[in-house]
Amino acid sequence: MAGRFFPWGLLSVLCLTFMLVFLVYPLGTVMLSSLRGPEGDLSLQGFVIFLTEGRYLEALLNSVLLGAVVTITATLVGAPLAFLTARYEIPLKSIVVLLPLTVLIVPEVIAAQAWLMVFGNNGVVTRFLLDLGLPAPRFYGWFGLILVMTLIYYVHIYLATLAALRGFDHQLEEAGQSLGTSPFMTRLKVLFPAIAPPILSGGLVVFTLVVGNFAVSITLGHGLPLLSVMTYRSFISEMGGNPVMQSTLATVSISLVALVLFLQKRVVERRNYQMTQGRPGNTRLIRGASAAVLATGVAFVTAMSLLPLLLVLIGSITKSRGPVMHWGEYSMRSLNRVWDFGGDVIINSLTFATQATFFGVLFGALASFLLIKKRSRVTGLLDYLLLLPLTISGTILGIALVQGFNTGLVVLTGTPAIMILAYMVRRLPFSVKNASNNLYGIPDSLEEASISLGVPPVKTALRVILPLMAPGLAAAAILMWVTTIAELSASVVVYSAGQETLPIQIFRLIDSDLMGQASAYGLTVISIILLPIFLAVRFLNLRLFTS
Amino acid sequence: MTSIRVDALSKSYGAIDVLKSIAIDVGDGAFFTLLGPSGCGKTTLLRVLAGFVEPSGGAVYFGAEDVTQKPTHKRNVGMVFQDYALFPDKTVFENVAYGLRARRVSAADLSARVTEHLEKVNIAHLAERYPAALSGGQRQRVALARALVIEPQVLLMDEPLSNLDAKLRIQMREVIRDLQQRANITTVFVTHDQEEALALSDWVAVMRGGRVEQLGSPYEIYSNPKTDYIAEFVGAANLLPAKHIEGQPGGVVVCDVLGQTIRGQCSVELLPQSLKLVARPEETAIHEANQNIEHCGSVNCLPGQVTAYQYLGHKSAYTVVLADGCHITVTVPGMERGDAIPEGTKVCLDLGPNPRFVSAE
Repeated sequence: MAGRFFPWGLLSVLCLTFMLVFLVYPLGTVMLSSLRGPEGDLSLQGFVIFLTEGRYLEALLNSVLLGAVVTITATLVGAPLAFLTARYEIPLKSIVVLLPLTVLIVPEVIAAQAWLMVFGNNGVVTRFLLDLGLPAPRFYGWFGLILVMTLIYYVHIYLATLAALRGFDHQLEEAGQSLGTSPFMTRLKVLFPAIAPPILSGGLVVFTLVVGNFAVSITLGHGLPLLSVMTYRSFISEMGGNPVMQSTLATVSISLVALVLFLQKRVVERRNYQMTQGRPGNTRLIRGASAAVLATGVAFVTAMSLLPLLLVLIGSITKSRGPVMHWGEYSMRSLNRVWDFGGDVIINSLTFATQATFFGVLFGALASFLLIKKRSRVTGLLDYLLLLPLTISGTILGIALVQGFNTGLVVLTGTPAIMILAYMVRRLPFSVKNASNNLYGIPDSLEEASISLGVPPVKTALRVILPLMAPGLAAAAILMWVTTIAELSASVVVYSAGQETLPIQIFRLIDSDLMGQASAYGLTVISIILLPIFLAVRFLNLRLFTS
Repeated sequence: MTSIRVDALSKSYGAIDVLKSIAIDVGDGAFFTLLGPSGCGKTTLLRVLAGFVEPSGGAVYFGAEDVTQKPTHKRNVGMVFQDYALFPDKTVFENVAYGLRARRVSAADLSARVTEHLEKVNIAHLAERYPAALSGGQRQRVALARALVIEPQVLLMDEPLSNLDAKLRIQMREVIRDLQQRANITTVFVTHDQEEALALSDWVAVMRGGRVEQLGSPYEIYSNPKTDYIAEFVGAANLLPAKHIEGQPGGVVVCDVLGQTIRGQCSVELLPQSLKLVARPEETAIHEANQNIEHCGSVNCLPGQVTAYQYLGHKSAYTVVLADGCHITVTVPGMERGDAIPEGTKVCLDLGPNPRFVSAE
């Protein structure tokens, strides 16, 4: 009966407690540490150093600038691509549909590494140009960061724009034209204002992702000070000591993202319009020269997105000696080394990902059920807290967990539990979202029908609702497992000796400039990721990429 | 099978009172309908009976047992939902068997009872289908079978016909009434469709703003409404302002209606300050008036002028403007426009010997 605490209220409180203990408390610890002096006294020393030592401020400005530039370039690539695929029938359209996949199957660290094999110090193009006596472009720093991040993040804009266009009622455009504006002006005056807010929201997501990005920033940033990289380096250098700078930098990042979110709430969300009906128009076929130009553009973007896959495949079977890649000569040595020495790392990755996925999906199933079907004041707060991990970069979440569970009642730092927790908390928003997918369509009357037929509430949830949630849960499990296998930024902060995962191994190999081996491990990660996706799409008919 | 009694029942959400001291009695085996517009509290009352909503005050009895605190799954109620609420991942057979499985009925018995009930609603041939492959009417039949197979104490139906098209609705009405009669099960039916309520029920409670405004047999509700609200909600009614001249309730009451003296019945207990005359469109006769005579000679007569004529097939409707700019609608058997009284013609409306006065707000 409504109004009774047991069992839904109790379960909601338990979920909320989990979030408070493993997210809010650690983040609070970090923010408090930023206000501590060397003796644990209240002090603004961290912020004084941040403001007076130039490189910290420079890092903040660089990160904001990089975020802004990549947001613009990603929008310039993603939005037109979405418009083309939504509205026109162009050659090669069928491959564009696969693009969202690339984000999943090519982890950021592998994308960065693949591009280094092209433009890095020992890259193919760099070598080729140097051999010809020509100056090679400087890939490390701005150029490389902007190129690689644009290619990684434009997919977010592409998906946001596509969703907005699909939800846009085509009749509004027809109405505009019937009232006398030209097709172009109608788009400008009717379509654009309606789809701009969701695209802008996508842009803000990209901005926060760029500012929080670790893998690409640290591999391609080199001498360029960036906030996320500096936070990580402070963490490494302050290990065991006073965590002032890491906390200060983390607090600055959190405040920056909070500001962006505030802007989104105040400016963007207010301009979101409700479409009464979404009737997307028919796609138009274009032929001739314009089709060729557009198809070339689409093909170029697609090829650039998929290139890392090919590069890693080639890199892994290319003969290499130390940092030198012998392009054109092939050898199985790198792959054999993975086979001989990579066992522990692969097993670590698989066990951590499997456990994190198990608990993450369990929590996701319960939380999404409570959020959608058993709304209360507690679930309102839970809903809000579940968004929080989206805005916290992996590095900062890792630092927060290490600091929060370093000492005191529960010591988790150094145990596998902290790895699993980090993965779980990081992916909870996605887990809950995917688990909810099927829930919205289930009317409350279904549960009531079961209860009226004599099945008690909890049993009803398990017998009636859970089977209907199954496809969403399967998708949640696969996506969580796959993204956890690829996770680097939190792993690299929380892991201890013996807990190395595949992305950590790749990161170390890139750091040592051992591209052949890094490629071999990269290929391993991609294979591990592709397998469940292939199985899910082939045998479960899961639609993983509809959002 | 059991009677239902609801005593001083109230429900409020914060400051909003959704149900205000409801008292109803549903006899054993009766078909009882809660009729009212959306937001009148009828669905909330049904959900209190089912146990989905905990009342703020008052009590619900099934027979002699106070079930107010009893959770739904222990109440043994059969419920039919507006959207049918069929389990989409279960076949028709499994949907109907669901409640029996919860009661741990033996396999042989279960199969026999499910088949028996599927036959009762004529869908035995659909047993292995999934709900998605059924038409609206078929889904409705599954929902009925599923609710009845558990042999519930009471059957509760929440606007079960509102998702069906007009023809099917009338067909399903007969199915529901027939099943209810055969099972002789106490039934509470919620609807906003007055025709449905009149056609199906033994008793109708017309609800408004969380209260039961009038309770009676369908005939009583239609022929003897107590308030202008009921008169207008149940069937079509023209309501005209009336001023009391003489007479007591229960007998003949004389009122002034738009300057004419009208004699009629009034069943309202206390004669309120303001009364209204109910003129049903189909009970009012229309005659062309003699140009010279204002009054057509009948006892209860109102003069007017035709302003519009609409042909509706089985009937035609005149709109007539009366004194003070009041409009009323009068229906007559359908006829060719050329045979109808032309617009602008002065007419006389005969209200019959016994029009009714109701209380108005």
